[in-house]
Amino acid sequence: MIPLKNGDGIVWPENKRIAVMLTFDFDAEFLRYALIGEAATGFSDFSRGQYGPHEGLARCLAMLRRQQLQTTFFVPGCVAERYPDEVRQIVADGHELGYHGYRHETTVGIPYAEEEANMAKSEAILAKLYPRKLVGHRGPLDVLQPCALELMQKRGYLYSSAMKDCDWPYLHEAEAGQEPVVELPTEPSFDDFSFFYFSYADNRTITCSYPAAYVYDIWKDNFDELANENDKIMCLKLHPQLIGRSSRIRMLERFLAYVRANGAWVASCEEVARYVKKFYATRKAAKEADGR
Amino acid sequence: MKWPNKKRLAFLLSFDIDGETLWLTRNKINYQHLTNVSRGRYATKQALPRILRMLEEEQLKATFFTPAYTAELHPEVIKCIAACGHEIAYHGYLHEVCPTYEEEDALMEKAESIIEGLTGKRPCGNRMPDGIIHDFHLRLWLKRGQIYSSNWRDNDGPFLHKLNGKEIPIVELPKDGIVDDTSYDMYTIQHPEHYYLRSGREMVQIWKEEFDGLAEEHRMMNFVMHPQFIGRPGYLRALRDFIHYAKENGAWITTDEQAARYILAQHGYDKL
Repeated sequence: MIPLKNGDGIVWPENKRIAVMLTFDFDAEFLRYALIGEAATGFSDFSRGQYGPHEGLARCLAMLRRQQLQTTFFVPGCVAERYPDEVRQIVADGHELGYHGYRHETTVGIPYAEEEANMAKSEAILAKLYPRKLVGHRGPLDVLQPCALELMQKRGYLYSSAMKDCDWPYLHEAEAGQEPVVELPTEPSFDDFSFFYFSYADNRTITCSYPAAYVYDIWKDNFDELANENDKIMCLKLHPQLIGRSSRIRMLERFLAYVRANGAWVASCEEVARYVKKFYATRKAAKEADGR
Repeated sequence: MKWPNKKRLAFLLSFDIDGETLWLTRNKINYQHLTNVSRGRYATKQALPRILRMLEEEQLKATFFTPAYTAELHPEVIKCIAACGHEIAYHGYLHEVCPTYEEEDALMEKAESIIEGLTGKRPCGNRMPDGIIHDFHLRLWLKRGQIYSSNWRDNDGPFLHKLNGKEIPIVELPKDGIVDDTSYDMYTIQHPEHYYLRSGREMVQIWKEEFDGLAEEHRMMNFVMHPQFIGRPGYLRALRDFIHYAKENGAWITTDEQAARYILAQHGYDKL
């Protein structure tokens, strides 16, 4: 017997085998601004970024309506300022909004005050379009500022989704008197960016030539294994400008049907995070009661 | 080579537990980059528990090239690997490269002592970080009693090294990119970039084709596998499938140390 734990023993609702989240980072042109720099982003890349709000998003939303899935969209404040109608549509369809930077900032080491200002500004912008308080946080390009967790606790966030240290959800350590932040880890091979991002202006000539079916197989193999372990999550990171192509959305829809048919609880990050937090708290209380 | 029990080829499952050091040494910004370092942490927190269970189910022993920094950071994991009967071998302290004999000697002493302190056994073989070798290395390893190296890439091996034209009792167990999982499963857009992600199915398809040819030649395969990448569920599924294929097709699946001792004995060095 191997004494090292391979998971944290979470039991999913209705005996589901795994929690799956289809999350969307609605970055529009700010994705490429972050990668290439705004000055170097020519019309082609600007226009590629706009494929999100102008075409891909509608296709994502239509698929989610067909599949009756309400999920999570991480939206930079700047994107909500430029595309309020598109964000309203996301909200009208019942999806959750999460924090994703103001201008999709990806510099490592943003000072505390500056990052807090980014959060305050984005929260205020999104509050005009979204009737509920933001509870989720995903660092742009998965960059988590060293001050981010402290700020999340202070500003009452429920969860973060950026770390990559395991396949199970866990609680970050909380400072005294603070609520712990739930982590919903993710992973580059669950990110459509790793397969579909492309730009001639980026000296990282990242390929976008993967057939959709190839990516489906990668996700399916991971899903099958994780579902067999029973206490894991699979958090897909998708971008309307990349996954929103006709062929890819059909692949995603096929994947969603597959996981639902094979014991997945498919939910928004907020729903999963609330469940996780309650499960661990209840278990901890039961253990403490046993100990007395 | 004539392998034991008429096996067709030696099949060495070896892992490099670079963990956090992979990120800390490739870009200094990662000291502040929580999520990149968390990818290294995946090795000991998630991948090794999964890999060790798989090896137990398959009843196999493997070699783990371990930077001593990883061992210091996660002693319970390294102790567990050793307690399962796997081999811990040398892979630097912080996955660094040393330019001189004296510095490398001191570093090996430090790292080997840390590992011996946790497992009770000194590493007897090595894979140098980044595969970088200097003129002094054979001399140094001979003095330090190392019995094998897994660094050369110039043939399919195995062979015995020579120092000043004379054969020495150090076995080479070569490797290269084709059997290194990072050629397929490592992805980062951070400099130095690494972004050709292939599926686990494709990775082991390439490995199976290589296996078939090498088995006909009675040669060996020595893998370079990084738990933080190949320990992801999809890749590990593919690796498990490949191990079954190897078992069904005459592979002698063993550790680098066992293979090296067998080869040394074949060459009359069995008193070592």
